[in-house]
Amino acid sequence: MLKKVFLFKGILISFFLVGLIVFSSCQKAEKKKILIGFSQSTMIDPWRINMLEQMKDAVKEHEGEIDFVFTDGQNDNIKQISDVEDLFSRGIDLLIISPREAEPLTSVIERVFKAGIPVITLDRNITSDSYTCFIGASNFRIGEGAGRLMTSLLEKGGQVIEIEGILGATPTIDRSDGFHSVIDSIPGIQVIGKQPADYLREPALKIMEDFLQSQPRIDGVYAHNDEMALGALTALKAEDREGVVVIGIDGQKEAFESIMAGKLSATFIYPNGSAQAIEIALKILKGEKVPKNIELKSQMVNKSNVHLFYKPDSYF
Amino acid sequence: MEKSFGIKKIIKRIWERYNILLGLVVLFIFSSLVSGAFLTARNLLNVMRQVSINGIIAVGMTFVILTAGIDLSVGAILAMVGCLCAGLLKFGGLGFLPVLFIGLGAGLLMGMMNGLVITKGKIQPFIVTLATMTSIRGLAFLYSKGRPIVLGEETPSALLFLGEGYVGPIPVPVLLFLSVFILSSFILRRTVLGRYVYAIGGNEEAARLSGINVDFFKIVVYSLSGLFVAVASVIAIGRLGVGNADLGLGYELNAIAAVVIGGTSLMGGIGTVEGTFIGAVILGILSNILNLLGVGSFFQQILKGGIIIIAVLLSKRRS
Repeated sequence: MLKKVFLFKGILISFFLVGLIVFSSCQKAEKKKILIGFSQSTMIDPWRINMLEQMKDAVKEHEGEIDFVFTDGQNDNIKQISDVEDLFSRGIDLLIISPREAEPLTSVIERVFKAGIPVITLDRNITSDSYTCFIGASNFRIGEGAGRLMTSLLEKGGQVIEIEGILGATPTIDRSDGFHSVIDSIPGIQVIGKQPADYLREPALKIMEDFLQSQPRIDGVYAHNDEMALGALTALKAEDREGVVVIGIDGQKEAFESIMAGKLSATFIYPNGSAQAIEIALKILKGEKVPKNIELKSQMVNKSNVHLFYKPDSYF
Repeated sequence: MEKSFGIKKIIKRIWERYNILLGLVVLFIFSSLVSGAFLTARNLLNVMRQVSINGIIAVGMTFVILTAGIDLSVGAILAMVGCLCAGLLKFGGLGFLPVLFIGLGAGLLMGMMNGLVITKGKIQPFIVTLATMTSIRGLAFLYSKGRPIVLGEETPSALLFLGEGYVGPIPVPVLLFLSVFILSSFILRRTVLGRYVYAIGGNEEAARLSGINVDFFKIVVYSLSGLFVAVASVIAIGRLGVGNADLGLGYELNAIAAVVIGGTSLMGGIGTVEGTFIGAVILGILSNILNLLGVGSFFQQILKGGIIIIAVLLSKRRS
């Protein structure tokens, strides 16, 4: 009996180790190529998965030149710090990182940068200048854009609900601050409710249902991303409330479809910059000069221009 | 015949006692073989530093689990203490030492509160700490107004030292982890508290009947867990330079994983902090080597789950 148990355990462990060896041999890098390491902050979010997928596509175009590894910070600053240390130990030639938060990741990125590894910060930057190039769009400016759009769509004023992303996260703060910097000075428009839905559709749906119960009049909804805007639209539809202005951010495929169907009022494309990051990485490694900061332009998409951006076969 | 039986018995006993350690050794050798980057002083010290925060929390968790309890609120306490310390430093105008003591005291107090509700309210630890996990997290968000409290340049040098500093080649968080571990090992092996923790976990009713003040010692154990979490929290904000209410989401599960891999029974009464130490290090090395090998993150999570099952199978005594 005991022997059998031992055998079983032995087989289990061997399977595990063989599996690991297979993995490691699959991943073995040839020495000649450049090794680019990408530290992603989380992979829960479709926008971030899309960022990685597009980066992999960009890497594929330079298959002979680049080896590519990535890590997943699992939405945890401390985990992401460890990831960067591990990538550094692995001997990457260049680090691309989308920091989960600026301040906590700054010190470890500084260490890598000062050891002579070029660093591209993507989407979110760090608080010091110890990086080679930052590529990203301005969430604050997108928030402003959403504020201006809301103001012009609610000419006669109105009551607005704001559905926020993850509390305390930089994009949430910037998307909110940008929006309020415009809307707060408009006397006719009031933000009558504000709740976080963590950038997820289902919590946004529930929050909107609750607001629809408690607020007799809602004229506009500003959601910090499309997922939440789509959740809010579902709740509005269930209550047969029509003519409510709903604005999202990100520009995901489903949001475009919703715009075409006349449901979502508008969205702002939030570009991820992953293809640019690979181009810039190659330039840096070839010794070419690159600008320190590259701001990606956002684009407002509504019914008038949605056909220009809608790609039925895109991931996101 | 008799002789071989004796040897078998000895081997079996050694296996039972040291199989977790053997697992660590195997993983270590394996990692050294498959990746040239693994076996360098800097990488190993990095791994130990990465392990420290979870390790300290897990050591506290070991006490709780040894009494057949569980503490799900550790991640939330980590966030609350972090926010409190950062807030007091930034807006409270207090110096580092008073803030340190307030932070540690707050951790202790929150743990004590868990213990009080569990013992005096006679509610299962799982339910109580599930509730406090949610409430304390909410309190942390309320206190920080949902925004990170950024210390940045204002981080006191002593705090920076605790999070990022070195003594010789050894990172300070590693030293703190070792201190907490050695202290706990001493408590469990050599003190009355240690003996009673095993007694309560082994058979609470019997412990009560033999005159042990079970409630008191349970409260002590949960307070200790809170205190250790506060130590981890100080390290975390020293490393991050930020107090944030979303710190340590899901850390209770990492800590429980380290305890379980270390051979401690969730039923209480059986287990050691030495096992937990090894469990935490195994998790740390696993994460490191998978990153060094470039194994995708989705696979990593699957493998980690697999390791937990294997570890528990290995440490199961007498099937």
